[in-house]
Amino acid sequence: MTSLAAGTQRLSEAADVGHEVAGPDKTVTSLRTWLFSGGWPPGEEWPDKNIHTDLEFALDCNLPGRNAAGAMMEGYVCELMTGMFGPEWLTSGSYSVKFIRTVDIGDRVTARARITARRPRAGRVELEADLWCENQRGDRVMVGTGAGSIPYPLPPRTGED
Amino acid sequence: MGGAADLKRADLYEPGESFAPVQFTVTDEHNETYLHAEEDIHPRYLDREGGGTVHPALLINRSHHMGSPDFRLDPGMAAVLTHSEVSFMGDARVGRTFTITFDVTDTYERRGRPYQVVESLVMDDTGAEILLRTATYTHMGGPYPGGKDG
Repeated sequence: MTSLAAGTQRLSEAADVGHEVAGPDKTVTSLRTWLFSGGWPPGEEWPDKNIHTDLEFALDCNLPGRNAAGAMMEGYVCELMTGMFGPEWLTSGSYSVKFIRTVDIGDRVTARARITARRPRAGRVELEADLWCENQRGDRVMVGTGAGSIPYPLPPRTGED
Repeated sequence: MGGAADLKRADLYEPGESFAPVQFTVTDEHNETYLHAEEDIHPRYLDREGGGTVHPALLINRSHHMGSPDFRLDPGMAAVLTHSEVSFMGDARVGRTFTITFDVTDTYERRGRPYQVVESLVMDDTGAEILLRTATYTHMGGPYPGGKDG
């Protein structure tokens, strides 16, 4: 498996079905959850109270506690896919995911991808991948699929990548 | 003048109905909040001179219908994201103003739990389509399982 340090390791044109890539480990802290789900712009009452930012609010909805937003996991997947496919993925890529477990404050989460299909097409290679995020216990918290493409052959990297 | 209590409860919206759009300008500070939340401090998002790329998590998070001025649930209720499909279509730049529309496209029940599907389209101030998101939510609390009375 390739370990992907943020945005530094793009897929090679030889990446084939079965190739796996892991994004960087992420730690869901209380502050990061507030930054993500606390609302904008921050006012005197910041963070906004919701099931991600406020324990009492979450308990009032009969949830066991506050937890990280699913969209935070989507951000981890976007970082992984942008690293794999390059910044053009942010204007042409796609994914579909479902959330199967909650992510608690303090959990460590890693986004992962496994190539499932590869189709050469007009100067590019289109790739599909299984996507998932797993916690520090190895439990999957989010699963789905994604798609992107890379030029073939790959041009030299630029600082923008 | 109507207050928040006069708004229709969000879980009662049916297919064909829409929440009011939201419009906002992404500043460097707004964008950088997401870089820190996501631990994704990449130079492509930090070009303060030329207008960096908006972090995708910002647009994804802002495309929740909870951001609509129409969105209202009763105390003790929450909308919980269960599925998300996203297609990126255009280049989102810091400094631009974005408009997001929220259309309810489906509602259904599975294993006694209600689901509501909301399609969000993000456009920038040039009219370019930036991102299309189809998000599915279930509701907790109030009359639904998972709430104090559910």
